Amino acid sequence: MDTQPSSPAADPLPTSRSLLVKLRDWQDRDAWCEFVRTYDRLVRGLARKRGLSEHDAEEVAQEVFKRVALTIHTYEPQPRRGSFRKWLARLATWKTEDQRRRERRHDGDSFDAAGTDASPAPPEPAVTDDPAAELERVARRELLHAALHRLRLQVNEQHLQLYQLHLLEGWPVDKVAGFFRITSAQVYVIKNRVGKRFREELHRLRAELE
Amino acid sequence: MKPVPTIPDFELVRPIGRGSYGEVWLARSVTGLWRAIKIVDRATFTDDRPFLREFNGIRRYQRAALGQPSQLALLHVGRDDTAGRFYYVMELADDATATDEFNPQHYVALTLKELLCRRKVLPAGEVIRLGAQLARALSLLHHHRLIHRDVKPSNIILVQGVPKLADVGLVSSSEATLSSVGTPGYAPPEGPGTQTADLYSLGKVLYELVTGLAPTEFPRLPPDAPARADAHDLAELNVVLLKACAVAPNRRYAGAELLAQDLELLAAGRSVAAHEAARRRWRRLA
Repeated sequence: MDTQPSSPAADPLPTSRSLLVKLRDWQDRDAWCEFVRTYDRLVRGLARKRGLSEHDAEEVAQEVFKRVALTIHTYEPQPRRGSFRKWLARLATWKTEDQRRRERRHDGDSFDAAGTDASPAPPEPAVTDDPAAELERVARRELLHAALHRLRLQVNEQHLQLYQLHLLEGWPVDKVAGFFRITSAQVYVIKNRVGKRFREELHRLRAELE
Repeated sequence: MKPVPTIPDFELVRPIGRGSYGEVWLARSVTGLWRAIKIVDRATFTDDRPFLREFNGIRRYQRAALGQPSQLALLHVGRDDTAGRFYYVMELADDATATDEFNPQHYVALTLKELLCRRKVLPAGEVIRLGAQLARALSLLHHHRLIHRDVKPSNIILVQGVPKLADVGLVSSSEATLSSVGTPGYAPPEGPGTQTADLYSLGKVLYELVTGLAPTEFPRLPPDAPARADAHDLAELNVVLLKACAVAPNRRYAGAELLAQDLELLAAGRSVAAHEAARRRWRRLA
C-alpha cells in the first residue's frame, strides 16, 4: 500500500451543544436540516453495515429521526465527548433490529405465499457489541466522504474518485492508475492537487461542526 | 374496503402499485391476456387542471409510443366521465417472482428497483445495455417534445427483458411548467422538467445499478471498483456517467441521442474516452 489516510486525532464528527439545544425547537428548520445532513448517512451506514438494504436503511433513518424529534426535548447534553452519538447509536441499533425483525417476518410470509424466491439471502451482518464504537468508525469515514463530496463543485469529479479510491479505500497508486488508465505519475500529481483542497475542506467541516 | 372499479372488457384482479395520481391494477382481458390498468380518479385532484393535464399527457404519449418497441405500449385509453375517471391499459411488466406458472396472486412487477433489491448490484456490461435502450427510449420521447420528469428505478419496468419507462402519466410537453415532480437523489440540482434533467436522472439510475450505492452517493465509486471482474467496463461507463450527471447542465450530454450513441459505443466494446481523445485530435488538426 502506498500511503494510508492519517487518522483524525480529534472527535471525527462532533455535535455542537448549540445544535442539540436548537433541535429542541421544532420551528428551527435550519437546525433540523443540519442535523439530518450530518447524521443521515451515519445512521444509514450503520443500518447497512448490519445487513439492511438501502431501502430498509432509509426507513430506519426516518424512524430514528422521528424518534429524535419526539424525544430530543428530554435529552440533556453531557459534557462527555460523543455522548449524544452514543445515544443516537443505541437508537439506531434498536430501530435496525426492529427493521430486521420485520424483514424476517416479511420474508417468511413471502416464502409461504410464493413458494419460491429467487433472491439470494441477505448477507449476515457483522455483529458488534459496541454500536457506539461502530458509529464512531462510520462517523470517521463519513466525515472524510462528506469533505470529498463538498469538493464536488471545485474539483474534477474523476479526480475526486481517484482520491477516494486511494485515500479512503486504500488502493495503491498502481491499481488506481490502472483503473483510470493513467500513469502513476499522473495519480501522484492529482493526489497532491486534490489533497491540499481536501485537507482545507476537512478543516472547515470540523470547524463548522465544533 | 374500497369496491373494485369496473373497466369494460377487463376483470380487475388486484392492485399492484400506485403511480403518480392513480392506482395500477392487474387485470385480465376477456380473451385471457394479462394487462396492467392504471385508473386515474378526478377525485384525486383538487381541480380539473392536473387531471386534464395527465389525460392530455397520456394522449400525446400514446401517439409518440405507437408501434415503438422501446416504449411502454398503451393498448387502450378510456374515459368514464360519469365516474369521474380515465384509465389506460398497458402491457404487463415481467413477473419478478419468475416462476414458470403465472400466478396473479403472487405477481410482482419487475422494475429496476425490484431487480436491484434482488441482485444488489449489476455487472457493468448489463447496465450499459440497459442504459443504451433507455437512452434510446428517452431520445424518442424528447424528439416528440415530451419529457418523462421522474426517471428512477421504480419507474422503469422490464417487459420481456426490455427496459421501458413506466409511470407515463408523468410525461408532459417540454413547454409545460410543472412543479413537485422528480425524486430527490435522481433530480438534478436545478430541478426536473427538462431533457437534460431526464438524462441526469437516467445517469443516476445507471450509477445505482452498477455501483449498488444510493444515487446521493454519486460520484463515489464502490470500494472494490479496481478489483471487480468488470472493472474495465465500469471505468468506461464511469466516464459516461460523470458526463450525464455533471453538476453544471452545460457540461452534460446535450441530448439523449448523444448519450445513447456513447452507450452503444461501449456496448460494442469500444472506448468512449479513446473516441473522445481521437475527436479532440481531429479538431486540433482541422
